[in-house]
Amino acid sequence: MIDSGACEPAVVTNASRHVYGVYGIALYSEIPLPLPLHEQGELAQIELRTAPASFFSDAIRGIPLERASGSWYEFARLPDRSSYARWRTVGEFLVFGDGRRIVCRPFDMASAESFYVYLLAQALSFALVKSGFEPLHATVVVVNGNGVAFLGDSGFGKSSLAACFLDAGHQLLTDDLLLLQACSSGVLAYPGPPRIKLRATTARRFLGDVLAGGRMNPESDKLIFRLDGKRSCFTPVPVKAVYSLAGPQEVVRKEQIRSEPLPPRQSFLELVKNTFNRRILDADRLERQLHETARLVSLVPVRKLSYPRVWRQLPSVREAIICDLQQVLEPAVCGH
Amino acid sequence: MRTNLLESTRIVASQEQVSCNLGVEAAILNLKNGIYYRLNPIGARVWDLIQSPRSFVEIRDILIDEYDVDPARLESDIRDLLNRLADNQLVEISG
Repeated sequence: MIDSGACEPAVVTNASRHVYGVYGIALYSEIPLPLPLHEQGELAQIELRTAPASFFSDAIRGIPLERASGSWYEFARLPDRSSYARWRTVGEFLVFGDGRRIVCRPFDMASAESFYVYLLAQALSFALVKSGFEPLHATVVVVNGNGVAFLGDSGFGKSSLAACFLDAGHQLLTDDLLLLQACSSGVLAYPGPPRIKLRATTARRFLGDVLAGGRMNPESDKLIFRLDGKRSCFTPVPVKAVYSLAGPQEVVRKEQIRSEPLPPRQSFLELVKNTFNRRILDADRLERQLHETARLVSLVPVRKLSYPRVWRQLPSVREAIICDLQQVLEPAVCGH
Repeated sequence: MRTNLLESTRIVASQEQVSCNLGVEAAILNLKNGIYYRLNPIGARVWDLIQSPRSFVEIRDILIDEYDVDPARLESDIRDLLNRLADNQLVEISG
């Protein structure tokens, strides 16, 4: 059994040959990753190592794996508070109880891009929550130096809407996992990996000639697109608004674009619903989640955004959001 | 299950929950099962009152004093709310 209590601080061991910055975290990695090198002050340090199959089978021996019906994701809570997770055809991960170390193993059939996606979002989310953070499932674009976050279930159009912003010259801060930190001037959003997950048709429409790195997983039609420095933002930005996207089924085809503020109770529920990690459920985490979310509600406006899922409407949705932001920042603009 | 709340029955918020104010409303998280509950403004006021043990009659009289509503209707609503809180293990009821 792994003794996370005896784990030394995750300051570089000999195995950590690379140091990257992602979500404001310094990631000391044994393997190369498609991330910018770590340059600035970090919120935490996490070490990433690889291990052979026997390491994982030893760790989970005799421990039942949880799996939702029909899911290809399996999970186990280990007695020492470590978490084990594996995605069929992608890889397996063990996150130490204190969140300071992730041990990983890509499966033979996994593409590197797909493995990176699960490592740097799903697996890393365990380490972030164990380290005291509350990551959200969100996509963030940068408009005039401010972050605009989109919340919503998979398939609600977060990434497509973000791609439409990229098409107009704005940058992506993160696609999938969002780490926020309150500071004296508000709430900062931290940059994720410089890539976006899109369907091929969406990418052709909004990204032009960017080459896809591979499928997200064999069961998804989403592809992973790496973004260059022009399209990615690598520094934290203040968050000016969070938009919770209405689901496609909630919106009729001829409906107008609607953006309306949510009352605090509804804002709270939208944020809790969009936590990135629903597996860690110990009382300390839940209590922290409640207080962090309530704090976020008091600091950042949360709005509900409804729009018809029609391609040619997306630029209008983008402009409506930009106008909305001007209202949030400067109430005199946009005729209000 | 409906608890018979007498005037002298004492009610206090359970230890195994955490809550926060959301404007005039409130959210409660049951730490035993990870389920969130929300309270409207009057529910949030009741919740605020039972952070320390109170008798049913104390709660009723404070709210009758604060809200311009029919006392019988208010009492019925308070009973309903406290029973639902009890059903979800969010309060402890004694006496």
